[in-house]
Amino acid sequence: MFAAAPEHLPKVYQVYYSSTVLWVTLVPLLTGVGLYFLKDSWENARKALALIISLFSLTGVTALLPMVLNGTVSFDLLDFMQLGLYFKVDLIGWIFAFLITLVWSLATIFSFTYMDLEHNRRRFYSVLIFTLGATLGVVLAGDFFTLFLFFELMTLSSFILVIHEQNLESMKAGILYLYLGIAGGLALLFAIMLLYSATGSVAIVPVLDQLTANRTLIYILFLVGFGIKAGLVPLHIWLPLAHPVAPSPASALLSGIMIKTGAYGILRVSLILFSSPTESGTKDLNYLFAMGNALMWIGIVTMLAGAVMALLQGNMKRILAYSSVSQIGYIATGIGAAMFMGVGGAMGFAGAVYHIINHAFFKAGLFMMVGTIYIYTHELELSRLGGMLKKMPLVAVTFLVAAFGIAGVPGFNGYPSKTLVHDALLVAIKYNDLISLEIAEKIFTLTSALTICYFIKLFRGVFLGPVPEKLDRDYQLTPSTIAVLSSFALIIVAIGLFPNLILERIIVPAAEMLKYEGYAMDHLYHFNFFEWHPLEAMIIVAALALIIYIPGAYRRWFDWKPPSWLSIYALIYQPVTHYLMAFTCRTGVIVDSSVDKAYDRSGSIARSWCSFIGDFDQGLDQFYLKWGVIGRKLADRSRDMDTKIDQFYEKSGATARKLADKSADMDSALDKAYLKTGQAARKLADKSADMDSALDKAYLKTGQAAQKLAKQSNDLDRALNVVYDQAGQKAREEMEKRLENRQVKDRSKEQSRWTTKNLSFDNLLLMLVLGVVLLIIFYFGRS
Amino acid sequence: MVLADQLPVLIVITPLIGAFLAPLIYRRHEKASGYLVLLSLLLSVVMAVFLLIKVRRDGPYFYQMGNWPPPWGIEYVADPLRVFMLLVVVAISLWIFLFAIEDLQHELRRTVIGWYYALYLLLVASMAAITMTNDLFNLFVFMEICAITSCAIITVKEDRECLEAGFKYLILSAMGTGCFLLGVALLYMVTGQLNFGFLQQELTAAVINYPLNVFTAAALFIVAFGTKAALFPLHVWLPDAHASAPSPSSAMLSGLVIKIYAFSLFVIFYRVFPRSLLDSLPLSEIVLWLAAFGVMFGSVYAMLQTDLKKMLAYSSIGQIAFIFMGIGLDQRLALVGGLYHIAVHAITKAMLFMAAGAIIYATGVRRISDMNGIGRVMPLVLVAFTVGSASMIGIPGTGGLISKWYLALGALEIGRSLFVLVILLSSLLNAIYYMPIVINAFMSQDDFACQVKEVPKVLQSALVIGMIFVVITGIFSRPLTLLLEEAVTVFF
Repeated sequence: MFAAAPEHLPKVYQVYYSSTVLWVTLVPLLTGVGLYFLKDSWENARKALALIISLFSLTGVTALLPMVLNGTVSFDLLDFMQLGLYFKVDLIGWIFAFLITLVWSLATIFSFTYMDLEHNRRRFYSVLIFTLGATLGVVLAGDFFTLFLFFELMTLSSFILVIHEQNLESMKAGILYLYLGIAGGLALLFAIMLLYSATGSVAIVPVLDQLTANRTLIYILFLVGFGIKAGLVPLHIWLPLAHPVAPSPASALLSGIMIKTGAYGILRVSLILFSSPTESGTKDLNYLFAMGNALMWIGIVTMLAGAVMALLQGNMKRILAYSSVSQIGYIATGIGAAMFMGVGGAMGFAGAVYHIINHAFFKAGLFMMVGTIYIYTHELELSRLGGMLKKMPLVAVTFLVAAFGIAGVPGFNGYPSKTLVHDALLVAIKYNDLISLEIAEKIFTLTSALTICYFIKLFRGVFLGPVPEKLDRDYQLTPSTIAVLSSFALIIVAIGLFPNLILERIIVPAAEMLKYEGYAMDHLYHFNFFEWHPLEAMIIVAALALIIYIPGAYRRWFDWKPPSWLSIYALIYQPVTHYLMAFTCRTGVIVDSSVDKAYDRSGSIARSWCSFIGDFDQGLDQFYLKWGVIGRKLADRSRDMDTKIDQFYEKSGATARKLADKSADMDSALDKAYLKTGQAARKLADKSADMDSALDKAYLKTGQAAQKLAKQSNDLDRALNVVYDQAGQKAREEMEKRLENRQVKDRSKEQSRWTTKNLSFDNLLLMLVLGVVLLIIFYFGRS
Repeated sequence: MVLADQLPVLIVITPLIGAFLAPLIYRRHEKASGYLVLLSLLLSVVMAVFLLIKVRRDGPYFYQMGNWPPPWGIEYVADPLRVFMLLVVVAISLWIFLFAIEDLQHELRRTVIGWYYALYLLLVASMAAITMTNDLFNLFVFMEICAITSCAIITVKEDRECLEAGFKYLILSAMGTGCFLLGVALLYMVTGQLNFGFLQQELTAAVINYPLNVFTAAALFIVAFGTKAALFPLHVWLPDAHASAPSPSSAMLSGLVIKIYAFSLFVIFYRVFPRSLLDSLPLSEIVLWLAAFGVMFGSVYAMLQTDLKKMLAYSSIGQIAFIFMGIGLDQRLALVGGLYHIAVHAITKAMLFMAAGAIIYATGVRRISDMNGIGRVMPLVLVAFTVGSASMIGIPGTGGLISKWYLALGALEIGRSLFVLVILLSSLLNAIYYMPIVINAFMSQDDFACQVKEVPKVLQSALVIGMIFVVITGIFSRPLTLLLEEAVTVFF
């Protein structure tokens, strides 16, 4: 088939490196912060600066176009926040960036008039410009991490836009928006982490082949993360609350632009991340079909639910907010169709992108038109408005143009994109003969009819009928408002009249980048919007709309208020949050009360321990007393023993003396007997006599020494006795003191029960944990 | 250079000397004493920076006390991890002291401020020593000093609540140290070593021969450090202690003291226990599950609080569990996340306590519900609180995201996505209890009712420094995480 169209052969894409990408994002971020510090009275300087910055971004983004048409523009800041900040702009990103800056500039101009009536303008402009930078960052990001950073930044700063009024209603809506935004951000972070750990990179490139087990989880998490921002059913609940309460320029941006970042994320994930660089096998095709089908059905449900809810609202901005939900459904349907058609999904892709562009213009325009009416009337309820056609004809005309756009009237911009999405469904039916697709196509037609219905309701309510008395005065629009509203109308008509211009110049090259081929791609090159087939579908829709609206309006079907229990909030979110909170609180309380019980019980245990210790003390006291008595007895006995030893020594001294006498007698006898034996013997005898006397002396001395010893030991005994007495006394005193102490302690325990109670519980707990840890370790350590 | 080799011990000694001089000088010159403390802390910071440079240049080195080689002498290690922790300790102590020097004038009696200075420096010295020591018994000694001084800087306020909390903390802390000492004894019994390096070698054999001792010691260590660092079921002392203390003490305790013990457990796990022990026993698993429960319950408890400082204290229980989770996951990236979270949470929680201190100082309000519209009367303090909350939640641009990113990647790497869910859920819970404070402070319709005093410049500048730190850890995280990644590679 390529041979038939040789001029569309794939071209070589170049990679440009330009810091423009960074500045376009950074300048609004920094100026946004700076604007906050401008004096309150410098009203005009603030307005001028805000306008200049948004125009600066617009110029910067426009300047990227030539490069983007031939390839991609990238810029990176290594090491900034861990993974580095990486910008990469391709044509898809550029389309979003251009859309963002263009609508933002118009909204900034519009806010000049609108905000003059509001309070806290300094904060508004500062956050407005800051959010521009953050939102641009989301679509210019080259990898998911950078995208995530800016996505979070955008959530936080747009939160301040939502709660600008600071009344109860807006705070409630804002906090719901913030919590869901943070939850979405965390889902996104989880998905990015899973992606990073599976592939080792966070780049936005086809990785389907590398993902294995948890790719469905990744896809669901991405879908939740981006779906919350985009407002897919059932994650849309914050949207109809938050968009209406914001100031109108902010609502215009929230509905027209910021929910598109969610759609952008879904587009990137579905059509780029979940595709493979090479021709993939059949298994993956089946997988893509399943995921794409799921996404498409989410889109179908979203568009129908949004349209029905919009039809039942009575508040202008709520109708528009639900309409945004419904339109996001169209976009999701287009992306889903493109995803499950694989390489043949060009039609769905083109439809989704085209509808994103168109929806940005007509929805932002509509919010500003409604905002203009609000500026002058301070009314948002349809029942209290009417007849504005005469009072503000310009607003009525531009409103009609935008409404034609959103309804898909040929000649206005909604028509080509809706036709493309519709054709994508038809192509899908052609290739896959599924009954579900047929049903989807029917729902699509029904939703388009409902869209016409709620816009007839809105237009009739605001512009037709009698003018309420309260509002019957002359209104003078400011030039800036006129300029903004008419430029929206002009853009809508221009795209509507020349639908092929944008399709061929921008969307088809973007589709080429994604390597689409086949029948749908060929068809896209020469798509003719003004032939019978798409017009016929449109006429059917219009006829259906009239069939629904005329009896509906006659019988007041559209004033029916669905019971509050039927809302998704009451059906899903309230029970979930309620039970979740109840569960966490209850576990908290249970743990707490069991801790209390443990305190009580351990307190009583501690008290019994204390009394046990008291008994132990008394036992000790008696023990000391007994030991005193025993000690004294012991001392008595040792004194007896000493006297006995003394006597023994004396006796031995006497016997020694007797012995000496006897030996002297024996000597004299010997002397007589051995007189004749000679001189030598006598000398010997003399010597032995000397020795005897020495011995004698020695005996005497020992006797004295023994006496002295006995006396000393006697003294020691006495001293010991005294010491024992004193020790006994002291122990008794100690005991008395302790008893007193215990009484004091008991008293202080009555005053402050915490000491023993807390203590023992904590220690018990510690022991318990120690026991458990020991048990685990030993259980596993056995082997 | 000779002096450069002595840096590890000089960093410990400088605050010690300051601790002895400060109360002496305080009797005569109150101002000069404060400057002396500042000076000694500043010197420590400068030396720690030099040490880091030196270690980065020459590689890790061992310092032996008195030139006694290890089995006999005490050894200090300067490797990138230890010096990272050391730098966190001394730098944040210096920063908190900037806050303290003004705040203490209003929270304490004049006469005890000098003693407070001494306690503060002793605490810093002990923590610095704990980060670097390579000896189990030395670790025990400094843990005791740390426990006693940190108890003293709670009770220094001398009101009933503080005394009660301090007493409770003292007893539980003593139990923790007791467990630790018992564990050390058990290991010494089978190995005869106290030095980490030798111990690790000996333990490989000892596990087989004397499993009973080693297992019991492991359990004792987990409980000991779990108690001291307030790991989930052992956290009972923390909320009272951290909430009732003077604000600088709260910042110090929540910011640094509990982290020191988590870090010690990490060092013991990877430096003392051999790899085979970690692989064969479910030690990491126990820590991991306790940490997971801690993360959830800390957040849930914090949600139920009405007192600002109590809420911050409970939040600490959840956040310290992140660090334990890093240890418990036992994976390179998760460990980096846990260690990074030490720095991040130290800065963030210290700043949050300072902000709370400034709020209490200026208005006397402690109840969260009384703080509607307070952001409009004291914007700087509440902006600091907002930045801190953002880091606790893990909003991009703050350090909290980086550590959670690493932890989650580590968990995914070993296929445990459940813990990623736990991390993200706790982020959401954190958002649920931090965000309303911030939103009501700035956006509430009601005006703030109480009288507001001027917040001194010093306090404001301390908060500004904190914000800068938080943003730096969030945006220019790469050098630090690279250092950590490199440093933990040796363990795997």
